[in-house]
Amino acid sequence: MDLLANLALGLETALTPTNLLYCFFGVFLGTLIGVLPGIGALAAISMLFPITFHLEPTTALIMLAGIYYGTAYGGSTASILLNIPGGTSSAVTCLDGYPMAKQGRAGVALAMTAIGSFYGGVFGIIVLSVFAPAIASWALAFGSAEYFAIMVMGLVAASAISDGSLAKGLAMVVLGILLATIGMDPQSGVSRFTFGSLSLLDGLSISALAMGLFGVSEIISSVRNTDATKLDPKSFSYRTLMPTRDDIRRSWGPMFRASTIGSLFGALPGTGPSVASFVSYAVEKRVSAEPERFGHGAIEGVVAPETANNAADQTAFIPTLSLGIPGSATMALMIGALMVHGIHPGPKLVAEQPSLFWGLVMSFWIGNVLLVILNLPLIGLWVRLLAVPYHLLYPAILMFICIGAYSVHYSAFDVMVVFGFGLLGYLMRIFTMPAAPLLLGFVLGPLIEEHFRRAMIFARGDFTKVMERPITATVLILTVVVLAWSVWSGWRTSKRLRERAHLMQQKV
Amino acid sequence: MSNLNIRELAGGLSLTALGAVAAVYAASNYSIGSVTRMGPGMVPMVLGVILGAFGLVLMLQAFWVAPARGHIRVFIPAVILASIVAFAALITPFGLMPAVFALVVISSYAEQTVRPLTTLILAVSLCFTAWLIFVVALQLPLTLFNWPF
Repeated sequence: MDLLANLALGLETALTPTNLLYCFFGVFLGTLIGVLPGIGALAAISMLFPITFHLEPTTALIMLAGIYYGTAYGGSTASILLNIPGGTSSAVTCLDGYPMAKQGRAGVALAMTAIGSFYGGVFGIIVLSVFAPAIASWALAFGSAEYFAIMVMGLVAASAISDGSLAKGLAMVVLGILLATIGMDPQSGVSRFTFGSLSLLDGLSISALAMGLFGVSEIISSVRNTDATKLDPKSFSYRTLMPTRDDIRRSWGPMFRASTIGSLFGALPGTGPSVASFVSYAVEKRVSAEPERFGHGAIEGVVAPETANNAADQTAFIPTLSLGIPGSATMALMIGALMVHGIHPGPKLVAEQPSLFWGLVMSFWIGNVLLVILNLPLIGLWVRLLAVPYHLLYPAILMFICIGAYSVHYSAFDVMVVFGFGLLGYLMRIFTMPAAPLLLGFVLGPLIEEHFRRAMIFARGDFTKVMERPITATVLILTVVVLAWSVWSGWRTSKRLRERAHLMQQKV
Repeated sequence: MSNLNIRELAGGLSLTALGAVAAVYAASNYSIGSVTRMGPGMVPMVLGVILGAFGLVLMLQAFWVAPARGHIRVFIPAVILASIVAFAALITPFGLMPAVFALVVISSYAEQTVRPLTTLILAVSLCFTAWLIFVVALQLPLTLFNWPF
């Protein structure tokens, strides 16, 4: 029983006091950040990223992952109580969660969310521990051409499915790869785009880039836009948390379906928790006998998206850990954390670093249990936190960002990199250009360049030779299909938008 | 053309300019090599060209898309970014505490209503928090105060 031995090894790793402590820190901070409005998971992970440099790689990953799935739990709290989604993946939860809160059933909604999230998380973990090693052993035969093709598909899918224009998403991916070429070229030793600066020789720091792009630009857009809301913490006693028998009867079907949907969309490149939660909400509404209840406080509409986004959070690690290819910007940061510690994620990771892989997987179990413990009795505390005014909060966030960036190399230059990307991030918001594809391109940039150059050497510069490899050809054709589909659907949407704008003008 | 979206046009134009500069700089400073044996300049040059092309696509799309909404903030980004510059300028010569203090005080001005006493209390308590988390708990070798003269 190989799997059992691996699980035992993982449990042993995850249960060491240090890992347990950082797992707790991770899910605690994740919930905190998920609850606080105006700061998302990506900003949070990039802020705490520098701290993990001083930890063991396994511990670092356990903590970052804890923040990641912890924010999903916390985000649902803000959605239900305030109608403000903590993140995009809990935006759908608002639709039925907030009406439930207005009916005085916030406690039930929160409790069922925690139970659904736990079930989704556990289901996702099982899928992850079965599929990730299988995919990894299959991918061992991949060459540079295959890797190049899969990375291109991942980047195209991520920018095609993210909202907004396809051209903007792809342009940001290209800009990210271009930014990644700054520094010493590993193959020739030539320093590129450094303009004589020694600080740029190692390239731009990924944590400074992410903090500027997501943290600082988020603050700039949120100042004077975020209101703290007053809520009575006493209205969440244990009694209001207890779901009725009817709530439970209605919930287990959605939980079952949503965990499957979530696991599927989490593992696919480009899609993720947000898409998973939207799709599972739509499915529940479709299969429901009384779809008219949705939007007016249906418990299914709360449980389904929350179960799905937690399942997706876990299965997002499948491509990340088995192929070394992140499907989302958050996963790109996880890869970045591993690379900082000199671990190159790829199919060999599962076999070569069993304690890291299985330790992380088992820490997900522990983290999910901790989250249920944290969330149910401490809901009153989280509710009080929602009342912290933003004008006290954002200077603190800025402080963590600046000290975090500085502490990586103890250089003021990295703080100026934060400044530069904060400015760029804000400009990109003005031009409605998405930041997540840029980060993905930046993380995958060096790998893509290396595999591309190597693949072309093997193919003797003949691109048709690359297409003769069956896996490469299939993946590249799939990429073209995704591209064509999103061009077509983008054209359709813009046509509809223009027609609507035209109608509006006529009315005026 | 009443539908021309100036903001989109500017976005596309800046991407094209950036791509062109990167491509020209890479092509003139680093060796390009051949397709089989690529030099360090090949990939950046190709990326610059692709980026420029996407910029052109966005410029063309500016004639189609609906006009942009939402005003552009100038004061808030300027204040927030200035506070980061202050931190970067102070941390090496003067140490962590003055840098954090300046960061908090300057960034507070991004809010419309600045109360000097609240800001002072916030700055002092964040200095204390920074010391507690980064120096006591994480034991990073950070200099708290420094006098360069």
